[in-house]
Amino acid sequence: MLTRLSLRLRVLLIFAGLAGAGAVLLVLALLVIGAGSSDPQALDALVQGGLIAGFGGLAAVTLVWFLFDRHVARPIEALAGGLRTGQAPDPDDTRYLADLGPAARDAAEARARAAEALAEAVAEHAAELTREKATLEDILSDFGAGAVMVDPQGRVVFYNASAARLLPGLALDRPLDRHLLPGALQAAVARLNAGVDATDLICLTHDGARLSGRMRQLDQGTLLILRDHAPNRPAPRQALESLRRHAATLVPMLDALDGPMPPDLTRAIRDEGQGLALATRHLTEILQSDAIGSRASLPELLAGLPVRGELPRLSVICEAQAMNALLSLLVDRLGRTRHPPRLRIMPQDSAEAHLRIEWQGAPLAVEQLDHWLDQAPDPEQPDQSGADILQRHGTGIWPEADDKGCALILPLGLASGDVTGGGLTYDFALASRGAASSRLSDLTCVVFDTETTGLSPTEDRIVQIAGVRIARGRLTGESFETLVNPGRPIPPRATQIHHIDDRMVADAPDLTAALTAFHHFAEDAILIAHNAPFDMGLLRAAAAETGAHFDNRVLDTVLLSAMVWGGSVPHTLDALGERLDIQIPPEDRHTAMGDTLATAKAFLRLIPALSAKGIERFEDVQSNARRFRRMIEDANPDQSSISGASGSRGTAGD
Amino acid sequence: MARILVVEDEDNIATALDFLLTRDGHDHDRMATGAEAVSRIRATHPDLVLLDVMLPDVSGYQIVQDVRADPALSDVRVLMMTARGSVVERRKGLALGADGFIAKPFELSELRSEMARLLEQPC
Repeated sequence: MLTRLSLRLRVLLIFAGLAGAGAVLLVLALLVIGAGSSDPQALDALVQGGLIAGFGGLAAVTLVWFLFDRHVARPIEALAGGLRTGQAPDPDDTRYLADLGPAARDAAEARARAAEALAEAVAEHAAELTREKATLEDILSDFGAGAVMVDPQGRVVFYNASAARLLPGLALDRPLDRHLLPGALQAAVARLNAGVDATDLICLTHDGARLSGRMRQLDQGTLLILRDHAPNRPAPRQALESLRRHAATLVPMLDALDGPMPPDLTRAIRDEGQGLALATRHLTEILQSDAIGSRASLPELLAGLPVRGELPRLSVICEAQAMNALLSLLVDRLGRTRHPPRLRIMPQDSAEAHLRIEWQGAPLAVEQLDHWLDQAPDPEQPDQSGADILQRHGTGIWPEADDKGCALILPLGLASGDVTGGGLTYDFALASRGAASSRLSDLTCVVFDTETTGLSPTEDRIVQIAGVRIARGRLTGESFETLVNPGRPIPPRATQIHHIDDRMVADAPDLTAALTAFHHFAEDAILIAHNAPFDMGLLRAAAAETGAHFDNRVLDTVLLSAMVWGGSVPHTLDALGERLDIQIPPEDRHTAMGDTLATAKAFLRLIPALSAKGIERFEDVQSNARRFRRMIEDANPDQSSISGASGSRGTAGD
Repeated sequence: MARILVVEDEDNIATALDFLLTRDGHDHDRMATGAEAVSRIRATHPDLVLLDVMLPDVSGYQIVQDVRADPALSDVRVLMMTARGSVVERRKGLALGADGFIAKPFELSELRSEMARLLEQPC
C-alpha cells in the first residue's frame, strides 16, 4: 500500500515513525529509571533531562527529514518527471544526488538528440511523400482517361477531371451506379470475384454514352479506368458511299437531257439531287465533329494576354498553344494601330462562350482581319495559318462595332464537367467509414446560400446560388456557383446588398436550368444553410415551376449555433464567424459563394463544440431541435427545417 | 419582279441562277469578281444581292461589311452563299450584316424560299 504513496510522503512517514519510536523509547526509559529511584529531586532532573532529550531528538529528526526531503526526495521526484518528459534536470537541484543528476542530464540530451533526428527524418519523409503525392495528383489530373475509385458499397471515394468530364455530376460519396448502368459493372465485379486482378468492360451511362475501360480490385474497393468508347457515329465511308450512289445515278440521267424529259425522269433527277445535297451536308457535319479533342482552362488559353475582368471557371474545347498564339498575334496587330485591346469571356450557354477582343477606336475591316489570319501565328508550326487554326477548331472570327467600342468575336465550345474544380477529388477514408454512419463528422453535405431579389421566400426570386460539398468533416473541393436570371428586374435595394444587377444576369441561366443543375449537384446530400428556412423556402417555392423537388434532409447553422451558445446571443453569420474566428473578406460577404464558404467553415467548427455537448449525430440534432427552436423563436418564427417542412421569412441569417 | 445582282465566280452556279431568276421573271445581273461589287451596288441599288463568300479577289464578308457601313444601302437585302457549310460561317455572315445565308449545294426551292422571305414576296 505504501508503494502507492509518493516518495516524499513515504520519507515523511518514515521520519515521523523514527521520531515516534524515539519518543516511546525515551518515555519507557524514563519510566524504568523513575521506578527505581525515590529521590524527588533526581526524578525532576530526570524528567527535565528526558524532555530536553525528547525535544532535541525530535528537532534533530525534523531537521534531517527537512534536509532529506529538500535535497534528495524532492529532486528525485523532479528527476523522474523530467525523465518522463525528456527535460534535463537543473544541476542545482540534483547536487546532492551524486552522479545521478549528470547521468540524467546525459540521458535527456541523448533522448532529445534522438527525438530531433527522428523528427527530421519524419519531416523529410513526409515532405517526400507530399512531393510524390503532388506529382501523382498532377499525373492523374492530366491523365487522359477517367479514373474513379469506389468503396465496397459502390460509393465514389476518388475521381479525376477526366472522369468528371465523362460522367457529369460525379461527386464523392455518391453511388457510381447513379451514373453508369449497373449491369456491366456487376458483371465485371463477378469476373473479379472469380479470381482475376483486373478485367476490361464496356458500360453505358444513363445518358446512353458508351464508355470502355478496365476495372481493378483494390484492398478497399474497386478502381475503374474509363474512356470514350469508339464514337458511335456513321463512318465517313458511309457518307462517301451515299455521295457515290447519288452521283452514279445522276450522271446517266443528266446525259438523257438532250431530248424532251418525261416527268418520271424529272422527279428522279430532283430526288437524286436532294440526296446528293443531303449526303454532302452529312459528310460536312462528320468532318466538323472530328475537329478538336483537346481542352484548355481559361488561364491556360489566355496566358500572357491582357484580360478584362475575372475569368469564369470554365474549360474550352481548344488547343491552348495554337489558339494562344493566334490571339497573341491579333492582340499585337490591333495594338499597333489602335488602343491596346483587352480580352473578355462571355459564356453564351452551357455549350459555348464568346471570346471577345475589345478595343476603343477604329473598327476593323474583314479584309485586314483575313490578311492577319493568313499569317502563321505559331513559329513552331509555320505551315499553320490563323485561318487553318480556326478551321481546325470548327470556328471563325468576325469584327463587330457599336457605340461602346469594337470587338472581334471568336466562339469557342465549352468542355463539359466544369461544375467541379477539376484536378483530383478524393477522400480515401470514406472507404473505411461505416456504411450508414450518421455522425455529424461523417455526413456528406452540401452547404449552400442564395442571393435574391428580396426577403420573401415565396414572393422573391433567386439571382445567385452557390454550394460546396463536405464529406467526412472536410471540404471536398467540389463546388457549384451560378448567377440566375430571375425573369424580373432586381430591385436597387437588393443590388445594394449583393451587387448583382440586371445586366449581370441578362445572359445567366433561368431558374429552372439553374435549380435543375443544383439539384443534381446536391442529390443525396444533407443540405446545410445559415437560416435554412429562408433558403429552403425559396427552393421549395420554386419546385412547382422548375420541377426540382428538394426533399433532402436539412441542417441549419442558426439552430446549431443556438445549441452551442443558447438563445441569448446573436446567431447572424457575422456573429457566428466572429465567435468561431472565421474571417469573411468584406468583398465576399453577401456573395453566394462567400457566404457559403463561411457557413461551411462554421459548420465544421461547430461539430466538435456540439460533440462536447453530447450532440454527435444527426438524430441528436433532431431530438434537440424542438427545445432550441423555442429558444430562438424570435429570430426564426417557423424554424422547422429539421422536420422537413418549408420555412418562412427569416431574419437571423445572412 | 425584283432587281437582283448576282456576285458569283463559279460559272455553272451562275448559269443555274440565271435560269432560275429568268424563269421567275426577275431583272438580274451578274458579276464574277468582287472588286467592283460595292460600287455597282451603289450605282444600281438592287433589291437583293446574291453574294458568294469565296470570291477570287475580295471576301464576300468584306463586301457585306462595306454595304452595311453605307447607310444609303440599308434597304439592300444581302443573301450570302457559301460552299463552307459550317454553322459558324452562317453566324459570321449574319453578324456582319447579311440578311440571309445559304449553304451550297442548295436546292433551288430552298433558294427561292429564302429569296421570297427577303423580298417579302410569296414563293
